[in-house]
Amino acid sequence: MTDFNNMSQFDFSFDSLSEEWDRYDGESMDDIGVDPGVFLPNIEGRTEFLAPDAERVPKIPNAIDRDAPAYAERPANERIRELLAHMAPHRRILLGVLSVAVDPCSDAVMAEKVEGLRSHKFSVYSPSNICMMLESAGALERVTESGLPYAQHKPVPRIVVWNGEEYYEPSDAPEVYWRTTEAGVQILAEDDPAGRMVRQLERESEFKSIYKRVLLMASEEGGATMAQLSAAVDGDPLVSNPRRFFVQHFVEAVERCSCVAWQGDAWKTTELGSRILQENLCDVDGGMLEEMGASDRIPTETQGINW
Amino acid sequence: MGDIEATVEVSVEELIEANRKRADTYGLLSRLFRCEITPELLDELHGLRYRVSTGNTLMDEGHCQIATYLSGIWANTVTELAADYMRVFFGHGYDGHAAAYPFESVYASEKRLLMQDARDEVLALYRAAGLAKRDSWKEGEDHMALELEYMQILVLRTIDALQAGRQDEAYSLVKCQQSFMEDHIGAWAPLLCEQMRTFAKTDFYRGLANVTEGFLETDGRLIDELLGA
Repeated sequence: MTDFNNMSQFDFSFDSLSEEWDRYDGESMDDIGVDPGVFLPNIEGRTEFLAPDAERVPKIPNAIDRDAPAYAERPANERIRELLAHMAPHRRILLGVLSVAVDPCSDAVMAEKVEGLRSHKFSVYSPSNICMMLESAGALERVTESGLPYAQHKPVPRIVVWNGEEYYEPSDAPEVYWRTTEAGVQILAEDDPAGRMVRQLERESEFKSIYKRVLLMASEEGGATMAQLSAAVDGDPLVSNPRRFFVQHFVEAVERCSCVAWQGDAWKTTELGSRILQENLCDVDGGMLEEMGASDRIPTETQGINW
Repeated sequence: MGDIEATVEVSVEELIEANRKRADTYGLLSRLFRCEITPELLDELHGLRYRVSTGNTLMDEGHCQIATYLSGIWANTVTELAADYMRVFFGHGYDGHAAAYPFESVYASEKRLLMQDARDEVLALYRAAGLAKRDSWKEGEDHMALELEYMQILVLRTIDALQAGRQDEAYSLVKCQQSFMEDHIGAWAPLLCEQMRTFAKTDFYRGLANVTEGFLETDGRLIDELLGA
């Protein structure tokens, strides 16, 4: 434990123009008005120091202020659904976190679980970021190891006497555990990826053949790469004439409904995806699959997109 | 030129020791304003002691706030502090009222603009002192971190002068500190710190505002005493 005033040295932002400080000639700042050897500022337009106007702090239009009391007063279910909608690409991770924390889970374990859930995807959100967003939405809560609300623990520094003087000494906080709230459990139970996939197919019924093609290709041994899927989809007149979508639209849609998963080098149809194929797409013609399928001959550059 | 030793009834060793503490504090504050807290620095800050009673109410409150905040650190603290640093010093929008901008020019120009006369003045002072910013520093020279560091350098030079027995030079350097405190850092720091308290959402940055303002108040008085003002 070190005294505040004995903090170790820090990197400097300044370079000395002279070779060494020791050689500094002791020129007085008082003499700067005589000839400092540099330009002199024009101070004619200089005002007195002015305090800012607190009334003029700009507001971000339509921003959700999660720190505002009004946000916390909204029903947790509503806030959680809003978060899931705003972070649709992360839905699987968010719900995975809620699933993990049904039984209290330490922050360290949760970090591992989150990294595992998104093992093949890069994300700018740290595991803690994700948990904090879920906590703010009312889906997760921080608890201590014994299950008490973490907010009940008020951090208090120790007071120690050193050289006859009293000092604050920061103490260690108890380990954080995450627990899914009742609202979080309810949202988790409501999650129906199969239903979402069916609704997606109904919404985009004209593209059922494309969806089937994607799921069938990803069902092949070893799955399907984006290049293979792109070659099979992007040239289809359904999406290319006029151009409406690229293959990512379909892959993302089935991924968000947990029908495919990225396996590190290829997309692979999940159990649910296979069920959707059998139950909802069995009568649909998958189109060009036989001609273009997962073949080595498929070019990796299509429509100017290089995968 | 006066004699710094004659104006205060303390030994040179005591003066040197007091100035070392001042330099360290200026260095620490400069670092905290310069950029976000790293995990390593957070560990180091957690390992420090913070004086309960300094004789300055703002510093006492700031020490308590920082030590209390550091007693609750966990995995998300570095991110939380980085977000608060951005919120406090950068904010959102560009009309000059969205954050506690850490530049003297903002507080010394009616339109709250960067790179105004105040920056030119401090730049002239730095150059006269044989200092230039490193290439890695991309902000204006009137940033609070640089003004604090400039004070640190003046104090370190004072220590060198005292150790070498160059009393006149030491006196002159303390006079420089007094001028810089009155004309620059000490004049606008309270405005910045007030803004920091408005925008900060963590007790760490509220505490930094209090410690900075309190320390500069105390140090300004110390400088006056050293010079027998």
